[in-house]
Amino acid sequence: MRKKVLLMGKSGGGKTSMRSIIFANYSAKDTRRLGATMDVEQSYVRFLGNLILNLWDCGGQEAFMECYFAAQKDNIFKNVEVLIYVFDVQSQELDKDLHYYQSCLESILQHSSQAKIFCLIHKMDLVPEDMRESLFNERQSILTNVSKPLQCSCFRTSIWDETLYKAWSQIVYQLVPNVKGLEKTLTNFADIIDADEILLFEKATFLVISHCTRKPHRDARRFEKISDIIKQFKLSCSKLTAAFQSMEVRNSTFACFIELLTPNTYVMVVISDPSISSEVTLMNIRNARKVFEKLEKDVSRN
Amino acid sequence: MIKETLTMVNDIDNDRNDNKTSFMRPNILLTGLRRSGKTSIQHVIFTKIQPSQTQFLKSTPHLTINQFSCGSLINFQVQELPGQLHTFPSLQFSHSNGAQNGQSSLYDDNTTHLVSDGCDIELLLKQCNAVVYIIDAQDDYIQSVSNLNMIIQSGRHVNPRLRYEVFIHKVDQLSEEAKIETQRDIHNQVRDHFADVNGGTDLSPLTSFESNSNAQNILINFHLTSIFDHSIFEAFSKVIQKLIPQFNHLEDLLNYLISASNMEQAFLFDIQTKISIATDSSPTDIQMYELCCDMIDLLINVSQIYGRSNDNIIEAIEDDENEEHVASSIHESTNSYSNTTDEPSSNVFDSMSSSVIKLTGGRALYLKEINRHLALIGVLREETLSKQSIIEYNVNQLKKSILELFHLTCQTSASSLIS
Repeated sequence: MRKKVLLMGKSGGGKTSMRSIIFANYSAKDTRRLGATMDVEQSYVRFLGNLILNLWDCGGQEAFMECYFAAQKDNIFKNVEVLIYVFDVQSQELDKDLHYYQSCLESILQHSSQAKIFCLIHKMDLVPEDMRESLFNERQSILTNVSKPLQCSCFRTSIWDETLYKAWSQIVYQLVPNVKGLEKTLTNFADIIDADEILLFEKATFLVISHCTRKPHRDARRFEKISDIIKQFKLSCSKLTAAFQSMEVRNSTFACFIELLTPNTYVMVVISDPSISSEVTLMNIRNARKVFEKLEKDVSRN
Repeated sequence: MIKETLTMVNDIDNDRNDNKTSFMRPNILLTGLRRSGKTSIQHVIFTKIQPSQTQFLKSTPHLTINQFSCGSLINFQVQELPGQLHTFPSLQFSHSNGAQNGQSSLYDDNTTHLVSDGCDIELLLKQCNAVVYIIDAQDDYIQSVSNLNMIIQSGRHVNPRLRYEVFIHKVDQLSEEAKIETQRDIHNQVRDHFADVNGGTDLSPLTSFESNSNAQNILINFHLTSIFDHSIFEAFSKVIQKLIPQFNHLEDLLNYLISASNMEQAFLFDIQTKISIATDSSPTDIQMYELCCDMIDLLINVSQIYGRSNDNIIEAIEDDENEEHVASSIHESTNSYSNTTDEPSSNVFDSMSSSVIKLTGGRALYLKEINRHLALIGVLREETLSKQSIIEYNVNQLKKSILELFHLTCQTSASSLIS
């Protein structure tokens, strides 16, 4: 199953850096060595095993941009599932950026009107903390207006913190087939094993694609934080040419298990009942594997 | 117990040079030229500052003393002495412990006395157990080395058993060959200086990154360090391991543990600073050490998200305010969400804290809490983990032994001071 994802925005906005971190295991520091993308770089990313994300990283230099709306228009804007438009928050040419954005939207409306649109206000780390919220809200309202009649979802992001994972989790969530079925099964699973929370990650990117929360938690940003924490540890392991397979972390108030669930997903189970031993939870996860694997197979068959 | 403590306090003033006092609180003198990186090193290790933030640190004006302790078990003093040394010929100075006559016979009339910023170097050298000297490898280090030589010269008079640890610092920008070359060069300069002065020293040749030169009883070690990777932690760990009086016992205990539990390696880490205070005798490679540090980060970060009881609402709100600020600096070399204060880390690291991480290739990491500040990390094969109960039993025994060891150390020091 192939899904086409367009990544567009002005040159130097951060598109290639983002994609390298999420899909190619770059660390934020590594992205410094990336150069400008020439024309369109297409990459195929295997996601959840049978889903292929066809990423079109469109170089943002003006010469290329002009081309996209002229000669290459059909080629680029047909069959798009998701359009991700990246705005550099420090850009001095907001009007010009919006102009290009609108051109994209026109083309999308023409060729792929069902596409989902995401706007990322990127490089937020360069904005002083106390101004971030207001600046983002301001940009969000501008973009929402400009995008009419299409709808766009806006996120503020930076490669230097977990906001990157939050945005991409949402993006990818739109692309996961049968995500509702997945959530229902997760909820069922959580009820049976009495877990506080269960997260489902895609294996390569560790983006959270589904979750079930049975006990309210005060930290709304924990999903992306966990993605970030695990991804960083994964990168450390790779220095030893090893990768981690599973982990268990506990203290007196909780126990958390991260295990492979299906060949393409990892599950994280958080349990705060101290009377439940590790072995019981691990056994439950092992038994649940069969159910989730079957679910994945059914979806791919359809 | 209370009476004994009072007596102890009185005795301390009189016995400043007593070995037992320094036994309880090893003293490290951290020095080097201006801008060599001393304050940055202290901040990166002992507080949670990000390495890139250290460029904003102000210059240290005078002698600063920092205490570092793992609870009450291991106590350190790091005395940071800034700036340039000056020599004053034949300066009379008095020791406040009243042993003046005995001391002055060590000096000729022509001896120069080192003073830095009004502090008497010799006094400091006498009271410390190790000198950590920082040389900026990116700068021209000739003056730095001659400073070092002056200090060693001074130190030989007052404290012959003093250990010198030279950090050849800021090497992150140098290539491998440049690093080796720099270390060899500095080593040669020091050797040549003392060869000239004393004629016929017999320094052992440089064979690896750490060299021990035992000529004329100068104990000196060289380390290549940088605050932008784990090398500074590893170097500091080695310095501290040699100063902890219990190190040999700890090493023995860890050796027993790995042979009884079939582990490959075992480390004892301080959670806060990620310095390993003891390891078993097998050779360690820095990558495994780094992975263990990352494991500690993982444990603390995950525990901070999920491991707090929901009753602690006030503390949680305060931390949330700090989280925004902290999260933006996560991607620097230390991956840590913890704040610059001690509280959050030790709050979530409690007596039941443990972690098991299985890696591909059949290896696993096993972490268990020893006390609020220390954790044991063992590297073992995955098959060994099937006997987890045996390992847990052994680790519990180790934990009891370590706590007893420190308890006894405290008691012995306390009682010997009184007698």
